Amino acid sequence: MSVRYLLGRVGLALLSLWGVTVLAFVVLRVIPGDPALLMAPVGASQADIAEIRAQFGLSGPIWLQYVAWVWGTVRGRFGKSLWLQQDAIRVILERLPATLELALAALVLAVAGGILLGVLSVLWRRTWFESATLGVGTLGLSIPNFIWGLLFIVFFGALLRWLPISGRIAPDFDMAPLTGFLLVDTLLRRDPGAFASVTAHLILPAAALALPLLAVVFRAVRSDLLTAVNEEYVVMERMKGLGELRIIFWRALKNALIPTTTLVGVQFGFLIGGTVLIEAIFSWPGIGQLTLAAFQYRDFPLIQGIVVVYAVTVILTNFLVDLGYAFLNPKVRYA
Amino acid sequence: MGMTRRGFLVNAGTTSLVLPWARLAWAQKKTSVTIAFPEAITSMDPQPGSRNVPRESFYQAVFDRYLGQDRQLKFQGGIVEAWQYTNPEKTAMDMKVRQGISFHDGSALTAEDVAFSLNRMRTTAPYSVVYKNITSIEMPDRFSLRLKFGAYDPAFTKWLGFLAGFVLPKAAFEKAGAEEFAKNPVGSGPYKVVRFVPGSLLVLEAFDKYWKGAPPIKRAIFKVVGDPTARLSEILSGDSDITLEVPVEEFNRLAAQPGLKGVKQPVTDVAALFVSPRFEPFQKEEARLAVHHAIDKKTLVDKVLLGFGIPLSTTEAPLYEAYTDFSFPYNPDRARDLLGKAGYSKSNPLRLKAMTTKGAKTKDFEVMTAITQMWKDVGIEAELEIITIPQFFQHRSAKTIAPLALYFWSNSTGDPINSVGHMTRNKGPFKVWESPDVDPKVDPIFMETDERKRIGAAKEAARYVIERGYIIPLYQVVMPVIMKKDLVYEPYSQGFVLPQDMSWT
Amino acid sequence: MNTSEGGSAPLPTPPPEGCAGKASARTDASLLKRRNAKLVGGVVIGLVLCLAAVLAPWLTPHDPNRQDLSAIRRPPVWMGGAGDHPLGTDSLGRDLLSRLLWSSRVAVMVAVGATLCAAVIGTPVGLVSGYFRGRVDTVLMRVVDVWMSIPAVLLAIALMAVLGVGLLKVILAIVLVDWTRFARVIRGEVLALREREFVEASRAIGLGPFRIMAEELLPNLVPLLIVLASLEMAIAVGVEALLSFVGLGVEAAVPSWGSMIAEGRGYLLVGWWGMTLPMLALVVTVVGFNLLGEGLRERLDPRLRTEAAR
Repeated sequence: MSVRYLLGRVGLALLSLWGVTVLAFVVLRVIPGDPALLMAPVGASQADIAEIRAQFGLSGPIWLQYVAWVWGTVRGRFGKSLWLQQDAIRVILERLPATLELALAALVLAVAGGILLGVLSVLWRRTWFESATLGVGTLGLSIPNFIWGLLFIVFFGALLRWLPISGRIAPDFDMAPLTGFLLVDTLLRRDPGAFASVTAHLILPAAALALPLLAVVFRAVRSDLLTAVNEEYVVMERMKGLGELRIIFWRALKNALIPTTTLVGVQFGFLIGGTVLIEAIFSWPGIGQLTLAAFQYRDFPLIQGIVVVYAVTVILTNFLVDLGYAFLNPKVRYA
Repeated sequence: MGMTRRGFLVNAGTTSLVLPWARLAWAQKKTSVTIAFPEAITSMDPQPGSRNVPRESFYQAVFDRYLGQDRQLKFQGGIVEAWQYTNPEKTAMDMKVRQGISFHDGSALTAEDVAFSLNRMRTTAPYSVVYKNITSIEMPDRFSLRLKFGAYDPAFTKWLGFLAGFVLPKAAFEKAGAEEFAKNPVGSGPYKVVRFVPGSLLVLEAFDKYWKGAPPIKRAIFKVVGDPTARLSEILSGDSDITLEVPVEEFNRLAAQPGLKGVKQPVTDVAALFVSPRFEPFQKEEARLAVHHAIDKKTLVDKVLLGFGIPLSTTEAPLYEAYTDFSFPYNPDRARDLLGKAGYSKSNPLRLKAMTTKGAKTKDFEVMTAITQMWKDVGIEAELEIITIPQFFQHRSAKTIAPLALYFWSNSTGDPINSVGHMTRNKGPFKVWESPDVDPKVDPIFMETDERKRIGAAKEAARYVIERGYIIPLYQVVMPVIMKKDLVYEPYSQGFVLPQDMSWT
Repeated sequence: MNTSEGGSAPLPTPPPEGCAGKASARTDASLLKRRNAKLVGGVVIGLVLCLAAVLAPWLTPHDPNRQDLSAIRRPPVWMGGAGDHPLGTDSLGRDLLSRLLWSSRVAVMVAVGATLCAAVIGTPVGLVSGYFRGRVDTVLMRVVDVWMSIPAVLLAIALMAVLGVGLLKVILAIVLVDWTRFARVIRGEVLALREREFVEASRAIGLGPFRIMAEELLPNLVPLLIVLASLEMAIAVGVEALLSFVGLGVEAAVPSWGSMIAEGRGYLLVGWWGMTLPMLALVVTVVGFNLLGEGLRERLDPRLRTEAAR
């Protein structure tokens, strides 16, 4: 693909990153309450507080503070989390795989589920199935994912008790993480019981997270397929005796790929934002679970780290999606 | 873990899918216990940072305190097996360290470790306020210490069995450094840390060479579950074996489940409203007292806390040494009178802001919401502001605290120094109300060498601050504990959860 | 959308149901019925919501914040509850019906307020960007891209942590988070419209760009705006519920479905109505707005090149 396109994408990514650093910087200085006082232990003297101010770069001219902040961010130094008393970036990076695994699982569920439902709803159109899926589509789109999460916990966790509703794996499985992606780790360690446990724990939160995106993918696939089934050449092919399923299915896959890619790009930001609440509800030990507490405790180092890491994830994903899209759609590459 | 029958099934991949019958059949985790714990465990360094007693549960599993404490809050020898003051001013003390104790890494515990721990506390906030009173530490021999103090501190010996009073291994700590030690601690307690995920999980394994004997349950898991509804689900599904602080409405239903039982445990936590002197109307005693008289604590306890509280009119809970059954009556008419005298009425209400936590303690916010209506009925209009506990500390230090603020004070030593003493002493960092008449009343608690006189002064001081309206105690906390029926455990009134005292039938 | 150039990405359009020729008559009728059902459903729900919001003070005798500690967790009337609390009470004895009704006021205020402001900010940006294209477009869309790098929920929470709680602040936060949606979609539409003859004609007779935007483009954008507005209202209500659920939404003293859900969750197994009823109200409202938006979209202009609902 053209170098110009690539550079353009990189430029956009960098610009977005810069914008995010500005935002995270501003956050620290706009939140009510003196941050230095918050970070100081009980009974600290004025001298102690001044020292904390210096340590966190809260003193001096604002532009200098910003430069110091950016320099620190680039090196990944956000300071020590007040609440967890550990280096903020380390805590975040330790927990990041959990969030990524959840988000990716949700993504896979959404895309696969959406395509499947889309195909089936067109295949079995004008039946109750189609109406049912349309209903699901609307509900999935409208209902906020945290509500789905709560509903799942109530039904599948508390009432029916089919699936676990907190954590990533049953604590009986004592596993020091290798990659942090437990699905991978349990396979690497050839422990099917652990793998099953991880999968079971992943189902409900990933499903809650996935539903809105699933509905969107479903709609898109369905709309494309509905156009397709009415087109001339399909009618011709049908007359040739080819199975309808085959036609629909292949057409779905081929043509769904491009729009789905763009959809995913847009939606991934929403999806990953959803992890904040879903992780809190399901006690999922990722960075989302940290987020609410970090804001409540006014843990600035952690807040800044979280905001930057989330933004980087989204920017990177968009970048990759753009590359993928350009790969699939040659028209865009040489713009 | 070898290939046990359970292990076989696990590898067949069935049990982990939580099919109800499978769960019931194999729920006999007889060698381990899983505790669904409400507070986040963030660091395994037991000395720095503010905390309340329940949080100390996991430190207690891994470390030993200098002194032990029984369920009646009486102190006994622990690492320090004997101690005594050696002069009449009580500024010098001899300590004897128990022999034969080893740390998890095999090294022997000696006076050096005790000295090291005490010394570190002299500069570790916030409880350094207590320990910096130590002016010198000598070690006449391998198992004795000689301490000198700047002044007599009657509560010092109690602090040895209280917050942050843990013995650390000097060699291991210095070798690892504070940050590393906080992640991979070495203690002398009944359990060793196998795995620690800050904020999420603490997996412990029994220490066979523990000086009191290895604990009956070989594996203890503290699972951080911050959300009360999630804790509910944990215990219902059997994923956890014991949990604290379940929603009070669900308690009876849970306790009645086959396979579960419940305990209503009164603990040494007191809920109180702290009064700020910087609020102009509170310069009038009538206003302060009206606020207190308007609160119907019995109804709060019965209807909002559903029995998980004991109304309290003093800062000293039952079991505390300076407890009296002093009562401050609920009297809304009197409240209206007093407000009238202060110039307020229902048509001209006293408007104020009140700070409260939400979810930090059982029903904290709901209690305050109910109280605002009780206030409304007498002519006080309160606006609630939700804060977190760290914000409470911050506002307190910065003196930006609202006219009234709800806080849960924890004093498992039972000594009045750590309740009315610190709560009100103007000289200290923990008070909110300031006025010149307080310290003369409260100082004797800190300084009187005659113990009987000291406790008498404490009772007097507690009564005084309530009668003046400087602080408004509400209730003693009763903790809802739910556990599996075949788990044998008697909860502590200090509010901790100690896996070392648990066993399975 | 991160591919902002040229709007050339083939955005998936909602099915042009029934207008692709070969469909049978029966399909036509049923599809038409379905489309109408959506619109009708949306309108009905919207009306009920507005009525509830406006008439709340008169529809129930209880003060939504009045606690009655002698009547805690009473069940709804069909489960044995007394008639004076038709939908039961919560754990502080407050009447659930009144709380639900008063919460609808919050929902309506947030929905309308946030949507209006987001439209007012986003539409001009979209117009300018789409009309002028070139550098202006690039700059504006870059700003939008950067803005959208921060996940919406995270940004909303951060904003509320900074601003503090309160209804107006919630509206402000939602606007700041979601105005980009209007900008993007309007821009896409303007990019297409500007090529049409009537615009060419206006340019030919010498009308200035802003007059063209105001007099030619804007009126043609109205159907799209209406559709967007409905969808935006659904999103606004959802975000407010989320914020109130975590305690970063409206003030503690103001009832809102989100905070009611959080409260009800605490005693779910002994009083399921505490959480379920507000959840139902929320779901019906959000679904209603979505149905309205979709129904309108299908009715007003099936060719509208709007992004599939997001």
